[in-house]
Parts: sequence; structure tokens; C-alpha cells
Amino acid sequence: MRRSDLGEFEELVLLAVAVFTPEAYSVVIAEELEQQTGKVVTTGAVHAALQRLENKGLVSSQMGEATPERGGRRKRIFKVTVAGSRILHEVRNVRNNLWSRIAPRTLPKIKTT
Amino acid sequence: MSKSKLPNYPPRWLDKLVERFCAPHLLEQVMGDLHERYYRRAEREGDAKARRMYWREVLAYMRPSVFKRNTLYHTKPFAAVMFRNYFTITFRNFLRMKVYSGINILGLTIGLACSFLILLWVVDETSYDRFHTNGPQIHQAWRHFITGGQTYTMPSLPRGIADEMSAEFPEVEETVITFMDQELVATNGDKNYREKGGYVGATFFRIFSFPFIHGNPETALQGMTSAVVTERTARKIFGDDWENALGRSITVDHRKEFTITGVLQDVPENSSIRFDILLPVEEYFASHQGRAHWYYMAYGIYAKLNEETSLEEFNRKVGDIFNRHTKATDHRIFLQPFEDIYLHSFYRDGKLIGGRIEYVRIFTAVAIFILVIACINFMNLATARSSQRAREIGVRKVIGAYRKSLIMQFITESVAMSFIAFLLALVIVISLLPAFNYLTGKHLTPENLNGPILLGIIGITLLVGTLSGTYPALYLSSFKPVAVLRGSFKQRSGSAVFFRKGLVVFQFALAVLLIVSTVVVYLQLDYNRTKNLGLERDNLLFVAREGALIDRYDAVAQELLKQPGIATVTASGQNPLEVGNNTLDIEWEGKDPDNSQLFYIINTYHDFAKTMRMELVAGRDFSKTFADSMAYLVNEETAKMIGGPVPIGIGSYRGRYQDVVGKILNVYGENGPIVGVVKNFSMNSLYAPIEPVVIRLHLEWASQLYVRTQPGETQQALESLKTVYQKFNPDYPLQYTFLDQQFEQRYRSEQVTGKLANIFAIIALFISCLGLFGLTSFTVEQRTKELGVRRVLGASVSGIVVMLSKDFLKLVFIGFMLATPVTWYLTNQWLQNFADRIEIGAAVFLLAGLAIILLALATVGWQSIKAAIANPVDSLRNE
Repeated sequence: MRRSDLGEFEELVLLAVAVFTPEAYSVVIAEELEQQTGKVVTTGAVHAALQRLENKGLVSSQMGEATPERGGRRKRIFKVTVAGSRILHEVRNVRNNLWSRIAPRTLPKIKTT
Repeated sequence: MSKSKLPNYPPRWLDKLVERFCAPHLLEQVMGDLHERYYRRAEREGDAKARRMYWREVLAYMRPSVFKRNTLYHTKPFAAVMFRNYFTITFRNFLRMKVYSGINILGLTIGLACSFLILLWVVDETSYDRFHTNGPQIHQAWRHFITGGQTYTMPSLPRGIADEMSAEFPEVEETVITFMDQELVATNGDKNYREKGGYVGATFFRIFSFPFIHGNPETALQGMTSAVVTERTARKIFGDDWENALGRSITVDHRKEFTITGVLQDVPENSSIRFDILLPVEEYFASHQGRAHWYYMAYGIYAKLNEETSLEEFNRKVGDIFNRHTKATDHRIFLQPFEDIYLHSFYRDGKLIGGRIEYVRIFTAVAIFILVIACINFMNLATARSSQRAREIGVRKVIGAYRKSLIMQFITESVAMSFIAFLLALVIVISLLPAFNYLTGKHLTPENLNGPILLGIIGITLLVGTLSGTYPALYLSSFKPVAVLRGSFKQRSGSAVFFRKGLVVFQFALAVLLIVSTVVVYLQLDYNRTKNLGLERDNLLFVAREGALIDRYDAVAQELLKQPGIATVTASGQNPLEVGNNTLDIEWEGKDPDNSQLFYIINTYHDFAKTMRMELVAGRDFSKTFADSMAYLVNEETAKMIGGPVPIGIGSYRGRYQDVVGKILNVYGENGPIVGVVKNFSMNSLYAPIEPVVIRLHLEWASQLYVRTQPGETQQALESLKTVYQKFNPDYPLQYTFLDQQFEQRYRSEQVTGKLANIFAIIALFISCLGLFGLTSFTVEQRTKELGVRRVLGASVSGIVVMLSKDFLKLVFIGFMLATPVTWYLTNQWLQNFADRIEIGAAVFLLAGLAIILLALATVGWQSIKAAIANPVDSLRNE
């Protein structure tokens, strides 16, 4: 499995799974990403990303319990697998490496919120 | 959840959409996620926003990974187990409710049996003339004869048409001249056999495919002395030695010897060209003078066209080839595909208006009607019975049955029922085939049920099962488990009841349509059969004038008249009920030069009107007491034309007819006086108006001997005829035809249609009543307690019967009202076919309506009375 298999959105979803574990499922992930990015994130998109991640072996899942607002339907709970953890770490290392090598003041100044 | 009111439910139809496309194993989490997200949004941003976003959410799931079904989800064993369970339940229900199931199956069985018989008949009708290898290329030539402002279309042509077509048009690969349907006498040694046959061109077998047993099709009809016979005839003439018939000779018509050059398989039943002996047509032209001339139009001409030829284009080119050879008459030649002719051969005013295809259409419609009526029974009884199945449905749903599987269950049930009906129908069809054949004149056997037809009827059964099962399945599977399991379930669904009533109305409308139209058909046909044709067709028979009957007619007639049982004798060349023979070649003093009226000609001899029992309105009959050399009788139509219009002031035409008598008429160039006027008689067809007829005193062309027997002494008369015939004509087997039988035969298909349609209409009504019976008995059963209470409170028996019957009779009555205008229109359309037709009065409708309503009343009433007179104690004792 190559690293390029992990798309940007997938990476975000994978990180979100890690954040919400042990209660990570598509609705909370979608809400969180929507809040973070400020763009509409549908559960469908998250669902699809999770399906792909699961196929790649980066997350595993099991059915959780039902809640009233789901009309008594159960949800699918995800957690990051070892492979997922490894790939997240790799990605992070690459990024950190690159960040640390950017000389100060090379990037144009922006306002951070 | 906030303290405020609960947010609205997300749009349901979107949910339905998701349910439809989402793979079942993902559905739970997907729907859960969708709803949870929706409610979260609704709480945070309000209903409206959440609803708007719901769209996008649903849309986001539209991807292959969500559609894709998990193959492991539906396992085969599961389906098999469920189906076994469906069958078990079907069987148990069947046993538990024998009456309803019986009614259902009986209705379906009768409906299916009728439609199978009709299908067999239709398939047989449409298979006519389809067995020729060159089939699509074979065409028959027709002519439109345009005269006196009218167009007569007929297939009888002069031989020149065939010659001209093959000489002039490269598109024509072969042509053949045929002169068929002749009565031939074949003689082998001292034995005479009467056979049907004809004279055909040597190219006959290059066009038509009649398989040979012995002989070579290419050469069989060449030369002037060859003869081809069918196996049946070969067996008859040569007995067990028929296999060696090739090269042996037979004498035909005591005229000439022919050598057998081919033995054919018997002509298939579904061939419209029928024969047992074929002789070379060139021999016929050589031995009969003048028969090859352009004015001798007696032959059927067939052409095999090149495969690439467009018929339309060819017909444009071929139209004129006759007119070049005739002066003053207008004949347009055209070809019609041979395979179509059997079903499409009625022309009126030069246009093809139908033919037997009408019967095919009528019966197909009848079959569909009957099936629809049977299906409606099934649907009505199934939905009416639904309260008894409600609990089962509730329990199944609670245990986790999908609606789809319930629908499957009910459709399985109705298909199973229809297959039971199918098996019973097969038994009925096979056992009824002989009677059906007798009625229709077909030769159907159980072997006809092979292959495609069997598949067809299985298809019909499946369709009927599915169609009649679908509505109940949809209706029953929609029950809410909570509603049906809570307590006693009552059908409150107005639309279902309304639908059921609508179906009953429709059913009875169809039944009324069938009944009234078949009554009208029956009345018209009965009118045809019994109306005064202008001559008495009973006790009248004819014999071909052959041998001594040609040369010694007077002696034979004398001898016959001396015999017991014989009233009068005459000779005629034409059957006066179907005079085909016509001419323009008629002149009289003062004839309008523009008059191009076609006159029908009968060649006859002494005592014609007397023997036919035609009424003379003026003048006298041909008789030997007058020494007429050439004389004419005319019918009223001709007399009117010769006598001119009625002068004002003369009340009746009778006086005018008297004036016509004595005028000189010139027919075929021969002058003679008109000696009498006979009342109009049906001279051509019951469908066509009566045309002018001229009756000639011309023994030579009067090729048939007509004998009127004394009423009630037919046997005696036949004995007498045999004796005289034997004495004069020992070389010819006696063959006679009764005019009335021939007439019946000619209108047989109408009569068969009438009879069959009557039978089918009664069956349709029966099935409808069967359904009504089921519905009533069911309603009564459901209302037992109510009726008991009513009785206890003092309701009268008649009051209850009226109350119960009213509802159903109302439906039957509405059906009747709806069907009346449609039926009136359709039957009037049909009656247009007849020149002399009955009036459809209100009486037919009233009587039929009354009969149907009475029958419905009897059906409903019986059940109602039974319910009304039951002791209320029985129904109210236990609660």
C-alpha cells in the first residue's frame, strides 16, 4: 500500500476517527469537519470515505447501539487500525519535516484566526 | 432534543428513495445517519434549513458503493424455505375456505378453458396458407370491375392476365392459371369416383408447396394427359395398390384418359386451395372452346414475385393490363399477398374491408373479456376476504417480513391458484375438443396444444395469476400490524371498497355487452335463416347435368315427374341464391346509352319459377305449353329499369310490371320477349342489395337439374331420383345437393360465430354471477351479528333481503347503464354488414337487462334470504 492512496479528505476523516474514538461514526465526523473547514460536509461523503478506508484496512468497524434520534437504528462505530495509525504517523512526519525546513518569513504573511 | 416541539419528520419520499436504492445491508446505518444528521441540523438551524440540506445529504449517498448489494445477504435457501411456507399457507387457506377458493378456481378454470379454446381456434385460423415455402412471394391477382358507378372486386380472371404478366414484367418469376373447385368423375375400369379437383398450369408446384409422395413436381403437370392425385384419392381408386399408382391411367368425366404422374400428400387442413385431382389446364383450354378468351373470366391467377419487388409499385404498373384487351369496360388488376387472403378478402367499393379476420378479432376480444371477468372475481374475493388474512399479515410483519416478501407471498398464492385452474382447464379443453370441432368445423386435436401454444397458454396462466394477484397483494401487504393486531379488524378503507364496487360494475358491464351483442347477432342470423328469400329453398335439390342428362334432359324430366315424391323439375345453370354470372351485354328499346348497369344472368329452362316457387308479379313462367325459342323472365329490379320511373298518380308498381311483359330484350345479341316478372329474390348474398336479374330460357347452359320434392316425402323422392338416374346415367355416381343445406353451409361461419358468441356470453355472465355470489355470501357472513340484532329488534325478513340485495343490484344496474350505449354502437356497426337488417329496439336491451338483473337478484337473494331467516339466537348466542 502506497501513501499516495490516502487522499486529503480521507486523511481528515481518518484523523477525525482518531479524535472521536471510541464514539467515532459518520455523523459526528461530518459535523466536526463541517465546523473545522467551514464547508458543507455530507454524511454521505464521510460514509464513502470510511468505506474506502475500511477497504484499505486503515479503519475497522462494528455496529454500535441505537439512539432515539436515529429512529432506533444502530450506528457503525469506527476505530483506527495499526495500519491506519502507521500511515497517519508517516504523513505527519513528512509534514513536520517539511514545515521545520521552511526558512522563517518565506511564506507571505497571513492573518491567523 | 430541545424543549420546543419535535422537529418535523424528514421528507418521506426521499426516505423511500433511499430505501429503494440503498443496499439492504447498509440501509440501517445509512438511514440512521441521515435521520440523526437531520434532527441535529433541525435543532441547530431550524426545520427549513434541515429539509433543504436533506436533499444534498441523500444525493451524497447516490454512489455505486452504496447501491451495491451484498451477495451474501439474500441466500438461496432462505427463498426456498419461504416459498415452501407460502405454498403451505396457500394450501391451508384453500382447505379452510373451500367455498371461496372453489369459486375462484371454478371461475378461473372456465375463463382459462374458454381462452385456450379460442386461442387454438385463432392460431389455426392464422395458420392458413402459411406452409408454402415461397409463401411471402406468392400473390393472387384480383380485378376491380368498375361499372355503373360501382366497383365489384373479384378474383376471377381470364387466362390472358397470367400470360401477359409473365411476358411483360421481369418482377414476376412464375405465374399459374388455376380452374379449381370442379366436380370431376374419375373412372378406373368400371368404377366411378366423384372427386373435387381442378385444372392448373404446369408451374403450379413451382409456386405452391404440396409435398409429393411419388413423382416429380417439376414435370408432373406437363403434357396434355398427366394427372396428379392426393394419397386419399389414390387409395380410393387403386386400393392397397396405390403405391404403384404412378403411370396408371384414369378416365376423367368419361371424356379422356389421363396418366397419373404424381401422388401428393393429402392437402393440409389449413390450406385454402383444396383438391384431390389436378389436371393440366392446357388440356382444358384445348378441349373446351373459347375458354382461353379474354372475355372468359373464370380463373384464379397466382404469381410468384421476385423477392425484392415492392408490391405497391408493382400494382401501380400492372393495373392496366386487362383494359388494353377489352373495350368499354374498366377492370383494374392488382395483386394481394396470398397468405393474407384467407383472413382478408372482403372488398366493398374497391376497398379491402376485412374478412374472417373480424371473427379472429371478435373472439380474441371475447377471450380477453372472459379472462378479465375471471380475474376480477379473484381480486374481489381476495380483497373482501382480507380481514381473515389480516392477522396473518400482522404477525408476519411483526416477525420481520418485508412488504416485498408479503407481496411475493400473495402473488405466489394467486399464481398457484391459477395453475390449479390451468390443469383443470386443460382437462376441460381436451375433453371439449370434439364438441368444439363439431361446432366450428375445425380438426383440432390435443396435439395442437404442443410447443408454442402450450407455452402461450402457460404464459396466459402466469399473466392471469400475476394480474389478479397484484392488486390484492398490494392491498393486503399495506396493512398496519398495530391496527390489525390490536383488536377486531374492520375494513374501513373506503378506496378499497370503492375499487371493488367499480370492478363489479365493470364486470357486469362486460357481461351485458356480451349478452346483448350476442342476442343481436343471434336475432339477425335467425332473421337471415328464416326470412323469405323470394323462393322456397326447402325441399329443393340439384344434380349436375352430365352424360345422358345433357342430351336427354326432356326424357329424364318426363321420367322424373312420373315418379312418386317429385313435384316439379327444371334446369338451371346458376344457383338462384348465388348468381355469380353477370353481363353488361343487355339491350332494349329506349335503354339509356349511359346505363352501364351490370345484369345478373340465370340460364334456365321450363318450369323455372314454378320449381323455385318464385312469385310472378306479372306474366307467366317458362313452360313447354308455349313454344318459346328465346324468352326472358326478369326480376323487379330489372323491370323497374326497363319500365322507367313510376309516373305520378300510379299508386303501385304492379301495373308497370304488366307493361314490361312483352317487351323485347336483347341478351348476348339474341332477341326475345320478356314473358314474366318475378318478385325480387335474394340472388347473391345476404350482405349485398338485390341487383337486376335476367333469367334466360337456354337449356344448353343450364348445367344443373333442379328437383323439387313433395314436402315430407324426401326419402321417397330420393329413391325415385336414384332409380331414374341409374337408368339414364349408370356411368356417373349420383351426387345431389339440397339448396337449404348449401345455404346453411354458406352462412355457416356466421352461424358458428353466433352460436359460439352466445355460449361465451353465457359463460361470462356465469362467471360474473359466481363472483357476485362469493361477494354476497362473504358480506352476509361478516354481517351475521348485525343481522341478528336487526332481527331481534324487529326487522322483517323482506326488509333484510332488500337491504342486502340493494347494494349489489345497484352495481349491476350501473354496469348495465354503462354498457348500453357502447353495445348499441357496436351492434349497429356490425349490422351495417347486412343489406337487410333487423332493427335493434329498446326491447332487446330491456329484456337482456331484466334477465341479467333477475339472475343477479337470484344470486344475491338466495344468500340474503338464507341470512335473513336464520335464527338470530344462533348468531348472537356467543360473543
